[in-house]
Amino acid sequence: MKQNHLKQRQLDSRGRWGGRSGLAMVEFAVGSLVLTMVFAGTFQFGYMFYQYNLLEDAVVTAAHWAAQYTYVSTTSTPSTDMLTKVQNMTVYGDPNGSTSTNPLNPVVPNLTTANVNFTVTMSGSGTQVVPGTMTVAIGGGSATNFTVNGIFPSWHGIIASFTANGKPTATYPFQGVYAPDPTCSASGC
Amino acid sequence: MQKIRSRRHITSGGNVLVESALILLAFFGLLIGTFDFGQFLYVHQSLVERVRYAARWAATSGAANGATADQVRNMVLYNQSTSPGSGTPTYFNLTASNVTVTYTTDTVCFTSGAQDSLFKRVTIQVSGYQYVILSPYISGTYTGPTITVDQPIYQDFSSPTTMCS
Repeated sequence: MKQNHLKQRQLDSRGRWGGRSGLAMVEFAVGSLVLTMVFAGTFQFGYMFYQYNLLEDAVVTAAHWAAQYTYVSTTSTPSTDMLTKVQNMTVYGDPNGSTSTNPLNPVVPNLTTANVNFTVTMSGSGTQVVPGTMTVAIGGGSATNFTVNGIFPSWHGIIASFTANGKPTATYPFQGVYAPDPTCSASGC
Repeated sequence: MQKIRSRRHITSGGNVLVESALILLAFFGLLIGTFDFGQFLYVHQSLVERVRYAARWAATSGAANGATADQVRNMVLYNQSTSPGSGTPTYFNLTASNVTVTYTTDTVCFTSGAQDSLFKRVTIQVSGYQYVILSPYISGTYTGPTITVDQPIYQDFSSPTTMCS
């Protein structure tokens, strides 16, 4: 038995061919591939989770802002002025949006105001109807769904992004001034 | 036979040394890199939480008492609105110059007949914070990502009715 390992191509005690030389490279290839994928997956998930957290904070801030803004529409369709400002608040953290004098970056890369879904519910009935809640969401409804991209592109069907379709979302009860404009039609202002 | 065995043993020993050196280098690189990344995430999230807390304070208690930008900055640095005096360590060694507090008042003129009004908000920004990285070859200090937190405060009802005319 002691001499056996000096001879090549000899079955060892476990019934395998002796010698380890050829296997090291294969093992390294397989091992490093697995390890690289595990690390890539961790970064991928982590970065998407981080972006989701930023979006979550953005919708909360925008819904909070909307809850304080004077509501002039008589219906659950907000005025275009308010819609634009809520969308800007979500994307840029500023109701005035990104301007030439005050250029701002979207909170998450590639997020646009078209991705922001702003919905209002009215409460009460008959002639006593007031704004009830202000909800801001990413994607869903009339908004364009937003794709949150990871760091690495998709490879062999491995998840590289997810679609924000109505989530994250935040709802605040209305706490501002309701000043309905009688010139607003049922379709909005 | 004994001779051959011992020579083989020595050759193998050399390989093990080189192999261990390579593997340990990679292993400790990954290990320290993980520590660095974990520390970065921890400090970053701590700073974000502190800034959010300061923004909430500015919008509630601070707004009720007319807090200044300096007081909000102290909330970020020391978790209290008054400065505890020089020499007191700040949160993760932030410096006052890292923290920018801006009060913004948006004037809105409604064409619909609603009363023209002022909407106040606060923006806290932490920029230029230096993170320490210990990993070999990339060790040093790095400027972290800018943290921006916006917080609506209130609608200013005391605004004059003629401001938009």
